[in-house]
Order: sequence, then C-alpha cells, then structure tokens
Amino acid sequence: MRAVLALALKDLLLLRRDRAGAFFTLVFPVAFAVLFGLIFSGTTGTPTGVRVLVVDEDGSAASAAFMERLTRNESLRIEVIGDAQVGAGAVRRGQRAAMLVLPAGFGESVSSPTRLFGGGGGDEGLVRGVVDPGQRFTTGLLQGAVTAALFETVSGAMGEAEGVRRAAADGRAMVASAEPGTINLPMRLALRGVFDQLDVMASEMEAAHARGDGGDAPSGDGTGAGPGSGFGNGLGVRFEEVAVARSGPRSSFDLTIPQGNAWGLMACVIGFGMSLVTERTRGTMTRLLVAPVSSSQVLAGKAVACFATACFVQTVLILVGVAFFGVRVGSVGLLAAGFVAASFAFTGIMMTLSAVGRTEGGSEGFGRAVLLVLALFGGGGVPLAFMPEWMRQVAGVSPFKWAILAVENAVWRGASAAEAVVPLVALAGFGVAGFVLGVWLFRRSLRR
Amino acid sequence: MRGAVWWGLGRYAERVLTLRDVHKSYGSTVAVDGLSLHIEAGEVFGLLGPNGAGKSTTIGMAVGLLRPDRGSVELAGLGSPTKASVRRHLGACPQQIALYEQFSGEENLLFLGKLHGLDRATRKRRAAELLERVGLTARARDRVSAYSGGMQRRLNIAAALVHDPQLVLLDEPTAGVDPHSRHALFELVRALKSEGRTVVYTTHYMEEAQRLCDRVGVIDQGRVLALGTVDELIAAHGGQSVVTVLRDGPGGGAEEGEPERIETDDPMREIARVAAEPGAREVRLERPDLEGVFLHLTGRSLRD
Ligand SMILES: Nc1ncnc2c1ncn2[C@@H]1O[C@H](COP(=O)(O)OP(=O)(O)OP(=O)(O)O)[C@@H](O)[C@H]1O
Ligand SMILES: [Mg+2]
Repeated sequence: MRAVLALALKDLLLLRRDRAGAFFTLVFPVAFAVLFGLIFSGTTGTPTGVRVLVVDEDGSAASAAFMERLTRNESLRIEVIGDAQVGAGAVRRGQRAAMLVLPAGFGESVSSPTRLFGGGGGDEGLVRGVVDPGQRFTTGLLQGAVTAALFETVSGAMGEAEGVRRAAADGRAMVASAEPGTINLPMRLALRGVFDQLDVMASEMEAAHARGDGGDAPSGDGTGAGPGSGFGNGLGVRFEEVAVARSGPRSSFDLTIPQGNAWGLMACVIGFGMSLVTERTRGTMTRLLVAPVSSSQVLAGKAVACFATACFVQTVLILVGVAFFGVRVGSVGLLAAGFVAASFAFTGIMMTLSAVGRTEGGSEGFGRAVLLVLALFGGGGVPLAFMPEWMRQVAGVSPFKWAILAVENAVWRGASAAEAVVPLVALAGFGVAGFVLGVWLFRRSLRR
Repeated sequence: MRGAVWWGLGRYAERVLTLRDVHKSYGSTVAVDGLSLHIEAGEVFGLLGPNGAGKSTTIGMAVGLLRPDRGSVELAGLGSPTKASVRRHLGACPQQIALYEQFSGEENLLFLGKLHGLDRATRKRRAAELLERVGLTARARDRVSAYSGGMQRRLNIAAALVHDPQLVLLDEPTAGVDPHSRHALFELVRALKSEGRTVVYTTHYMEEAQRLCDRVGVIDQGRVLALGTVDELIAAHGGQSVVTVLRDGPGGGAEEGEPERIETDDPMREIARVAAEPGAREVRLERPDLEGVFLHLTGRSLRD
C-alpha cells in the first residue's frame, strides 16, 4: 500500500508540474462552467429567456398594453394563460420561473393617479407575481421588467408629459385636501417625493421628445426603491414566493457546473491514461517494474491518483458553483456518492484507454476522439435537459451522461431514491468494466 | 530477513546469479537462444556483444522484467527475480534513460528511495551521496529535462543504486557519454566493486570490457560464444600478436620501405630479433584483444 501511495503521489506531483495537464484538468472545466454559465445565465431552463406566465384578469386596454410591453423584453419569454391556479401549479412544479397576474381593476388603477398613489392598491400591488424563491435572479429581472412596463403603461395612460404633470398636481391637491390624520407624515413625505419625481419625469419626456427619440420613459429601478417611494413596491409587483418542488435547473450554472465535471473527468482520463503510456515509452515503467513493486501496484498507483484528482476537480467545481453562482446542493450525500461513482467510472475508463494505446500519439488521438464524442453525446456540450428525448436515450451509452446526471440529481433534479440510484449503478458498471478490461489488457501487454 | 541471510551467504557463495539455458523470443525473432551463465560474488562481469546480440534481453530476464520462455533465472538462495521481494536485492540501470523529466535529479532519487521503502532520512542521505558520486550535486535541484544527455546517463545509473543493492546490472551505461564522464563512470564501477558489490555490465565496446571486467561473456545471436577472464579469452581465441617492422628504404635513403607484419606467439623475442637487424627503423607491437577474439569467434567485427 505504501508503494501504491508513493506512486500515486508521484503522479499527482507530475500533474502539478505539467502545465497543460493541470490546465485541462482543473482550469478548463471551471472556466467552461463559469463562461457558459454566464452566457446562459438567466435562461434557467431555456436558452431564449425566462419563461414567465401571465394571467390577465382585467382584460382592459391598459392590461393588453402592459402585456405587449412586457413581451418586448428580450430576457423574458411570456406565455399568456387563463387560469392563475394552473399557472401557480406550473411554477410550483418548477416548469416555469414565475407567473404574473394582472388583477381586475388593473386598467383603472393605472389610469387614475389617485388610485395609483392613494392606496387602494395597498399591499396588493398593481401586479401580483408568483415566483420560485430559488430564482432570486429571476425575481430581480422580473421586478425590473414589470416596473419598466408599468412605467410606460402609466405614462401612456396619462398621455404626454402634460398628463404626467397634471397627475402630479392632482396628487398634491389630493394630499393637501386630505383630512388631517388620514395621511401620516412619512407617507406625506414619500408622496411628495413621488410627485416631484413625476415632474422630473415629465420634464425628461419633454426633453426626449424635443430630441426626437420618442417617448421612452426612463425605466425606474424597481428593486432599489423603498416602500411608498413612487414606483417601488407599492406600485410595482407584489411577489409571492412558492415552495417549488424542484424539477428544473435553478440557473444556468445548475447545468454548466455538472458539465464542467464532465470535462474535468475527461481531462483526468486523458492525463493519467497518457502518463501510463508515457511511462512505458520513456522507460520509467521499466524502472518501476525492476523496483520491488508489481505491475498491479503500478496500475493501482495510477488509479488512486486519477480517482483522487477526479474527486478533487468535481469538488472544486461544485464549491465554485455554490460560493459564487448560487448553486445549491439538494443532497450532499447523493452528491458525494455521485462524485465517487463518477471518479471510479472514469478511473476504470482511464485504465482501459492507457492499455489500448501503445504509443503516446496513437493513444492520445484515439482517446480524445472517442471521449470527445462520448462527452458531447453525454451532455457535455448541449445540456441533457435540452436534448430531444431520443438523444437522451442514446446518451445512455456515454458515461458522461451518468456523471452529469448524478450531480444534477443531487443538485436540482427532484429525483426519487430509485431514480437517483440509476446513474450511480451505471457509473459503477462503467468503472468495473473499465477496470477489468484495463487490467487485463495491461497485464497482457506486459507479459514478461 | 531472507535477504540478510542471502547476503550473508552471498559474500562467500560463489554464484550470485545463475541463468540456466534461458530462451526468449519476440514473435519469430529469437533474442536469447539457450544462454547459460553465472555471476560470481564480488566480480565485475561484462556481457560483450554487438547490437542485437541479446544483451538487453538477457539483462531483462536477469532482473525479472522478462520471463524466459524456457530455462531459469535464480538469485542465490532467493529464487526467481520475477518475484518483487527478490528484486529488492538488485539494482538495474536500463539501457534507455528512464527518469521522470519533470522531476529534479534529487526528486527522482527520493521517489525511488521511497518506492524501495527507505525512510525519509535514509532517502535524503542516499540521494545526496549518489548525486555527489555522479557529479550532479550542483544540479540536484534542476529538472532532469534540463540536463545534458551525459548528465541524464549519470543520473540513470545513480537511480539504480538508491537502495544500496549488492548486485548491480548496468545495461550499456556509457552510451552517448563523453570521455570525461566515461572515465568517471569507470571509477564508479570500480568503487562499487571495491565496496564488495557484484556488477554486471553490458557493452559493445571491447575496451570497456577489457579495462573493467574481471570476466567477460562474449555473446552473439543470443548465445554465449566464450566465457572467461580477458586474458583467458585472448589466450584462447585472440590469435597471435603482430609485430610490425619498418625498415629503411632499399636505397638506404630517407624514404621508408614496406612495413613487414610478423605474427608470433612470443612477441618479445621477435622484437629483440628485429631490433638487432640493421636498418630497422621502428617496431610496433599489436597484442590480440577482445576485438580479435570476437573476430575469431564470429568472423565479423564487433562494430558492424
Ligand atoms: N520488444 C521487442 N520486440 C521485438 N523484438 C525485440 C524486442 N526487444 C528486442 N528484440 C529483438 O531481440 C534481439 C535482441 O535484442 P536486444 O535488445 O536484447 O539486443 P542488445 O544486445 O541489447 O542490442 P543493443 O546493443 O543494440 O542494445 C534483437 O534482434 C531485437 O530486434
Ligand atoms: Mg541493449
């Protein structure tokens, strides 16, 4: 055992010395996961936008205009449905990121300043939203989008700058004429802020108009505003969080981190497989074999080093995901089991690969080609979640699919215990097959 | 513990390593064809033969790297070196440079020491000693990839000695080494011998065999052609000495005449006779050497 550890340690040290090897094993997978995670961030399940359901319970011209404006937002994919109950269910099941409900009376609220600012909306908000609390990014995005659309709708309803200015004046008059005690001091101050803001907005609209670039309203920062301060929460969306039965990725990183794992595992296979081939071509294998170690120990040393590196790479990736990109591990036990199973499987594959290739060039070319195809088929490129069903079935031949699935199960797929076991068993199968075949080929090639 | 017993015996036992009628083929190529020899304790044994003679294959079987197709290899009192525990007692330097290039010279030695189960302090001490011995102390911390070919050769040999083996097998250790380093290597081999170790040394340079080896086995095409001390081999197979005489030209002038070659068993008497003749200008003596032995045995020259 001591010899095996000495051999493994030697390989780990050699990997650290080998810049290209270390890059592909650790840096590339992390870079892949982060880069593609960022590129697709906010897409949560679809590459084209956050899927948001909208229910129009108002049916007014204003609600139609609001929805039309929301649709123009490129980061959202709006689907209009009739039943808020059904929509909430879809969000709860994780099929959609969020739902917005435009309650009856939305149109009136939007066109009447008094209704807008003088309460009535109250805690309700003009728009009711149902979101998945896991998708904090989505919530922020929606808040911004809704506020912008509302702003435009409101200013549209109020007409041009003149209307806005009138609304501000009406509002001031309303506050002034209110019976003492009905509006307290903070509210009064807040409302004064709102009216001032409306005046500013009117001026901006006039200025914009003068410049000739249309009536684009400045989009308010819906998330930053405090309660009651104009187009903040009082006017915007009132979000309601639902507990989601997880069955969809929370963010793009839920997909790219497991994919990064696949690339890291591939680098481990190639790196250690190659190092075994190199040991033969460079003669160090001879040196090891004349030392008092057996060929099994030499092989075991490689396996231990490969296994340890595979576990390490996967752990680093998930830690990066958790620390910086909001990835949350549903089941640590399942994740650990997945890591171990995947590391085992790919160590076995490494053994076979290294025994198949007699020359560095041959082995490396062959290995890369096969592994690349398997990795792409297994969801290393196009995520499994986006693959057509038939392809997902075919992907079963790729160990990468099972490695990715094992992590996804632990992170976001609400897999039942039975479902969670499938990839682990598949990986174990790949591992055993790889070990048996690899050891047999290796022994045969070294036949003394 | 068996090792200790063996070495206890080894000092007195005649034979440290015995190969009996070993055969080894690679496909249809017969590399070693019924070779038998034994190595005696404390000697430097030379395996001399041209390229492809089967030297490396023989060494491979002697160190347990290759299993003979037929015949047996035995380390005295321990058995076949294909067993890992038996290999502990021998050190082998492969013909090819076999080092981790990304490691420094020191790291290579430390790693091999660890593999042989040496404790940390012993490893360190051995590594430092060996680096000193092969003149690499100044480059100990440099990566092997930055070494010259000759330096790599020297480290390659040091790597075979980390665990302080009593039997050392060196397969063409001088290939590609400059005269200075070669001389240092000879010194190293002599030192190993003076420490009581047994050394097996393969080469196709007959000068090396002649200078270093107590006994030499001349092999070709996988067979031992002759075995014995250098003097024995020369006496048996070297043929006669050649005395070459250069005389004044026929006119007695400055120009030389044709040199005369005289083959003889008693060159000193021949020289004395020739020197007494008038007109003899120069006398040269060529003693038979291992080259001659090989030529005599195979009808071919050692080097192509
Ligand atoms: N791995 C191998 N596969 C096939 N043939 C081999 C192999 N190794 C050696 N041979 C053949 O066996 C014969 C003996 O080779 P070997 O390496 O033992 O010779 P050698 O005396 O060490 O030669 P050199 O001085 O060139 O090192 C040669 O004909 C060689 O071609
Ligand atoms: Mg050789």
